[in-house]
Amino acid sequence: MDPVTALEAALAQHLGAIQRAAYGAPPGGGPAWDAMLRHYGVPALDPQERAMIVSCMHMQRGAVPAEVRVVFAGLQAWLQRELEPLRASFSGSPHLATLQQRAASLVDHEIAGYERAVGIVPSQPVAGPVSGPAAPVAPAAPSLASIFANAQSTSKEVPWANMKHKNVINLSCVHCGGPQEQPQDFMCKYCRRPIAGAIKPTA
Amino acid sequence: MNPAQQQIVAQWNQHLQQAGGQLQGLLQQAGGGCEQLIAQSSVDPIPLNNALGAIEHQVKDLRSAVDNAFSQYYDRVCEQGPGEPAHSAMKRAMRGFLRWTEETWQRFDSHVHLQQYRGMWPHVQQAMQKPTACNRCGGPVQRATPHKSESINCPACHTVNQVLPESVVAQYFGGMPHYFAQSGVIDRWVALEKFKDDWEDYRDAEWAADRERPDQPLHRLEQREQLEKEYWTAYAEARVKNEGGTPDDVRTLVDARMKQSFYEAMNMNDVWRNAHGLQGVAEQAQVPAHLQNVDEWGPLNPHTNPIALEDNWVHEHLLNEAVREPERHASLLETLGYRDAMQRAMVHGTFRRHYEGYLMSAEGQGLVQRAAMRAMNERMKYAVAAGAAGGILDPIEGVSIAVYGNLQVKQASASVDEFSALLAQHQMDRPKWDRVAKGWLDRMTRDTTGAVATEYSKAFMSGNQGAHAGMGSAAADNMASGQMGLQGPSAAESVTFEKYCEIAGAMQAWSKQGKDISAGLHKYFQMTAMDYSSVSTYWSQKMMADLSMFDRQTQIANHYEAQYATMA
Repeated sequence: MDPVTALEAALAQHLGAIQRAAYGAPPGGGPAWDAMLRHYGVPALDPQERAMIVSCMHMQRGAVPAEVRVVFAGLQAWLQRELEPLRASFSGSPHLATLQQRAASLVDHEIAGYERAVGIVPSQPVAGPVSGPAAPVAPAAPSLASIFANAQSTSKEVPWANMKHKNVINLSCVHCGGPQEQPQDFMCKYCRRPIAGAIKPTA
Repeated sequence: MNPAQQQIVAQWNQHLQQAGGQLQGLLQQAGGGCEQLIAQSSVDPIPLNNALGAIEHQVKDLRSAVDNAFSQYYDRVCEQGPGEPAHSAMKRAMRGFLRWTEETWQRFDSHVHLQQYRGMWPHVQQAMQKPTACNRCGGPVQRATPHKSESINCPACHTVNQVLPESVVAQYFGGMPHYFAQSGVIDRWVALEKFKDDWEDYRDAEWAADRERPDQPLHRLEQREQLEKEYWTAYAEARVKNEGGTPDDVRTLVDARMKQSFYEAMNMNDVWRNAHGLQGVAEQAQVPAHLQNVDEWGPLNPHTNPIALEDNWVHEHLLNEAVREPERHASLLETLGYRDAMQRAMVHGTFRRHYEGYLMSAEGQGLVQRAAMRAMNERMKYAVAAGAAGGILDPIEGVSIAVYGNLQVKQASASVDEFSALLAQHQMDRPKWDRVAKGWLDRMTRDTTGAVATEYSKAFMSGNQGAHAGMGSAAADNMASGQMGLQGPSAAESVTFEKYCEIAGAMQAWSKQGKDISAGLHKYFQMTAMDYSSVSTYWSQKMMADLSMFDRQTQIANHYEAQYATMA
């Protein structure tokens, strides 16, 4: 089994376990779902809030979608992390591309499916602002992987990269070449002229 | 709240929960990437800073998306019935969410920076133990404080060696004090923000229950003062300790931060003012009923002063800004020629009565706008004069802010030897220069009037060299002659407005992508950060004199941001 297929199988296993626990839970969740939350390190909502969600969303069964979503988000993060190292070796593989696409929309897709399964009526879409002239399309947020790659590579492109700075300096008199022998004495001990040249106050 | 509204509020809470999940997911992923970056660049914090800057953009976008969604949910609540108490519940949830996201980000940022500096420490120790040799004879030179510059006589040939800390040592001590201090006070910050939010929640709840939003009582304001003081003291003590400063450095830093974060706000709060023997903000400028229609021109007689109306608005802007500092307000009233705040209120009332119609016209609006710009220049002039009188602009070890700013800008383009020679011409070695530079930086950090920054900026701009120096120096002249916002600087434009906007857009794109700004400026525009600073100051002043340019700037910069975002 190649790593992409193995990853897909692992994802299916996680999804199956989450869906079973969420769907099989009594309204608002139960011990099995709580165990699942603990397994994925997701803090449970407080019981009062769960009860409110159950009542407002008229839920007859299943864990509250807010918690299920966070679990899916964690799974999505894991999947994207696992996909990262495969990108270089399997670039161009349609199988990988499909899995990447699935990863990108995993949370929304899975939560929509879950809500349908437990009979939650989809909420009305929020009315958007009255459409005006088309605004310039904001560029999509760059991926974290590209951010880290950029941060690493571009810091080497600064003009001073790899420049070695000397960290010990001596002053030698510009008139006679004599060394400075007293800290804070900028008159040459030998020719008694300003050691770094005429004093030209800048301001 | 009816059931439909309850459902919308539940959806709002779910929306917040979802956004919280997104943030956690983002930071979880980012944590791994940061660790890798630290391992790859263990002696250079710049790549990590660039990456964290880009991640912070995404965190901020997430926060603003939540903020922007509020009104949409609230509109839906209002369609279903009265806005309260749903509004108050939604606001409370949003405050809690925004506080949590800020705390989560601060903890993440702080943790990652600490990891970076801890990773640097072994390299720092190694660099500090490296033997140093005399540059002239090669004999060993003993260092006493390897994290600072030192001038050391070679025991063999007596030559003075100016020894600078290694780059990794300088970078470590440059950033570490702040991040270690910050990481230790996050809990205090959270407690303080919660304390402030709790009162806002209570005010909203009172309003939702059909009662007035109450003023915060004095004992709570004093509690907040205490929390703020403890927070800033803990921060300043930790930071100054790591910087190697004095108790006086702690005190001045705490004073400056308390003034900005607490006292300036309290001086606009009537409960606080009354408790401290001051009249309320509105009350001090109240004109008794029997004097409300009496003409009082004060120091601005329009019969002898042709620009008295404009001057009146300049005074109004200046005095309004100074209210947050009662002593400065009182002294400004006197300087401008008023007996007291009431006389000033009468003068302003008189001008409004006589010129009401004119002020509504386009010409009148132009006058008020010009007065605002004049007030901005005047404010800088007063701040610098007050700063000079108070000693904040006194030379440090004989080095004025003008010399410091001028040398600072030359440092960027000079080699280490050239810069040391330049310092010597000004009777300085590296240890003295470092002390002076730190001294001016500390003053700038603690100066709440802006006087030090203004003078520094003038010196910096006029000292700039290179292809764009003309633009920088024209901007400095414009600022020095008090013309900011009234007329733009004038110079040969080595960078056009369009090109300036393109650079601004590109920089915005790079910062969101984690790319190094200096590298990009060099690669695409053959510029340094100093060059950009000259160009940007020049065009910013042009825009202030012609406000319509701001819109164009935004449009062009957005266009180029999108373009540069797609470039590899």
